[in-house]
Amino acid sequence: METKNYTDLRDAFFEELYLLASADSNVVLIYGDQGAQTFKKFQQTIPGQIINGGIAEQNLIGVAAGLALGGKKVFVHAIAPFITLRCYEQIKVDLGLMGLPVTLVGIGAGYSYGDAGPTHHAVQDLSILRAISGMTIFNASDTVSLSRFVKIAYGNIKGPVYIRFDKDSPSQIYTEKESFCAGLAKIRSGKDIIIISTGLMVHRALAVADKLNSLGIDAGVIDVYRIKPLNSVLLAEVLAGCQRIVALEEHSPIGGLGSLISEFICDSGLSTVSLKRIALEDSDCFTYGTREYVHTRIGLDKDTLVARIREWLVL
Amino acid sequence: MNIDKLSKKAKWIRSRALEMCINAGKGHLGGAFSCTEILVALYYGGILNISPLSKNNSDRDRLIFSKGHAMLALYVILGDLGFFDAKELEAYGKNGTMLGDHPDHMIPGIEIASGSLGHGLSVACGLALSAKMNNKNFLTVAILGDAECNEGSVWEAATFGCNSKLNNLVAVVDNNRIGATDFTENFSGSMPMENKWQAFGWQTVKIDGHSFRDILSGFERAKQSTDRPTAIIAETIKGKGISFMENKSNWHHGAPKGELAIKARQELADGDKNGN
Repeated sequence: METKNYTDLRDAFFEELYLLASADSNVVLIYGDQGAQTFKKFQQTIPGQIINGGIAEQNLIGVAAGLALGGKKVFVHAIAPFITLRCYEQIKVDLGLMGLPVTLVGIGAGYSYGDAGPTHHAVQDLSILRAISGMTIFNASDTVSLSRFVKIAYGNIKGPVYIRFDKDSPSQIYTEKESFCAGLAKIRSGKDIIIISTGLMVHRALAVADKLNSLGIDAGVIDVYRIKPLNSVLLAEVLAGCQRIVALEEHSPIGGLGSLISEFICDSGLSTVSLKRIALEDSDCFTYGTREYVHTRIGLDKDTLVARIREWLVL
Repeated sequence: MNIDKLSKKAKWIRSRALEMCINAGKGHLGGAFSCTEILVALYYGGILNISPLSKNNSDRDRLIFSKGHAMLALYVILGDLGFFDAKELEAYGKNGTMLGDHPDHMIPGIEIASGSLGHGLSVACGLALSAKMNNKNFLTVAILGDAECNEGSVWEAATFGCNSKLNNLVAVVDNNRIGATDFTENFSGSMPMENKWQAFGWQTVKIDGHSFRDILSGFERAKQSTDRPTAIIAETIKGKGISFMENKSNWHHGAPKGELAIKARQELADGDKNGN
């Protein structure tokens, strides 16, 4: 499938959505007073398909549910914590219980909005949305994956979807050949350890794996870009033979990727596998500065991660 | 149906709801009885264009029953009209019944799962907006409790409904002035309900919520609105129809037993003849 080359995550999402909306008048974008470059195109050419619902996330979800009941394919956009935690019960009742095909589009995964402080950090959203039955969750690590998630959400999924992406624009990991139907991808093979990550931290995982390789540790990387449903069959396949696994995420240690992988190991009976979970502390971050600065302060920078993993490997 | 027949139907609906409640040993009769005439007018009085045959038709009118706990009268009506087999009503409160204490979207005739308050008006806004987008003429009606209007999301929806000029949307506030445990003025204050909706830009119509003439004329006015949604503020009595329940804050939930059950049945006895 042909996809444009995007450098900006927001462009990757909303340009692709715009193309779908231009071809299908049932596509509606409703947002909570949150801008993106592409919105102008919507407003100029298909103004009936874009709605600023204001800072009222509970209502956005309910309206989206009503539109979906009226046959619309609805995408709801706001900063990630606000379109998830703020209106969680609406997501449960109005979307989850009724299995309505509404896609939540959250910008600002993890510490994307670092300087904005913990009110704007999205570090519990995966935990709580995983608990919504029938929810599909995508976490983008680059523009190629994100631009495909739009189409997958539009075309293939019956129930609610959450697509989460960074405010910053990372380099590309994938080529356009990737279909993103599998739910996860082995980005790099490794025999000694495999680092499983998601979203922006996949890039960090690759940098860490590079460094470990240079130190004689054969480290692989897996990107779990679809958090729910986890493709546990494929994950078991790509982990076959590896006894040391690191789960790396920029998210609460409770309920996120590390929890997911713990549950997978437990449910799969992989009792001989050792898992090291590296996530945020179970505390709120009041450290202000660039993402790199914050990561260095909390031990998620490349060098500290390499040291933490090496220390764990020695044990 | 003429008004005399509507009144008989309402009494019959109450008597059936009472039997469901006694049979199950539970139920929210108070709020069900405050909105009984409103529901009877909607379904038998020619306001809603919906029937078992059209229940999946995209042009049907939509009732969003936001105060889901008060579903007993609605269940009786849907069973009576044949949306589902009326025998299902007897199973209410029994293991395996399809009729929960709050309605869900899998019950024929029920549009949304409700029970958590403050959700329905937003969904109703979305449905009304979809009608405009799709050039459809159906009416969307949401029934809310007055205590439900404590939920902030109701006012998010009120803002949205007005700003979106949803003249095809009607919110009926069942203003029975009692919440789950207390009179609403004790926790919501005494500002008149219609003032709030007026402040949010809605057309308001204040009616006697037990008068069919008022209800029917209220909806006539609502349907004439050209540029904004309508809030029908229905002044009602919680527990209407059973003397010892009327306007009592301790009859939000619960089934009458013993002498009270006999008395309740006697007071509604005339209605126990199919209501026609």
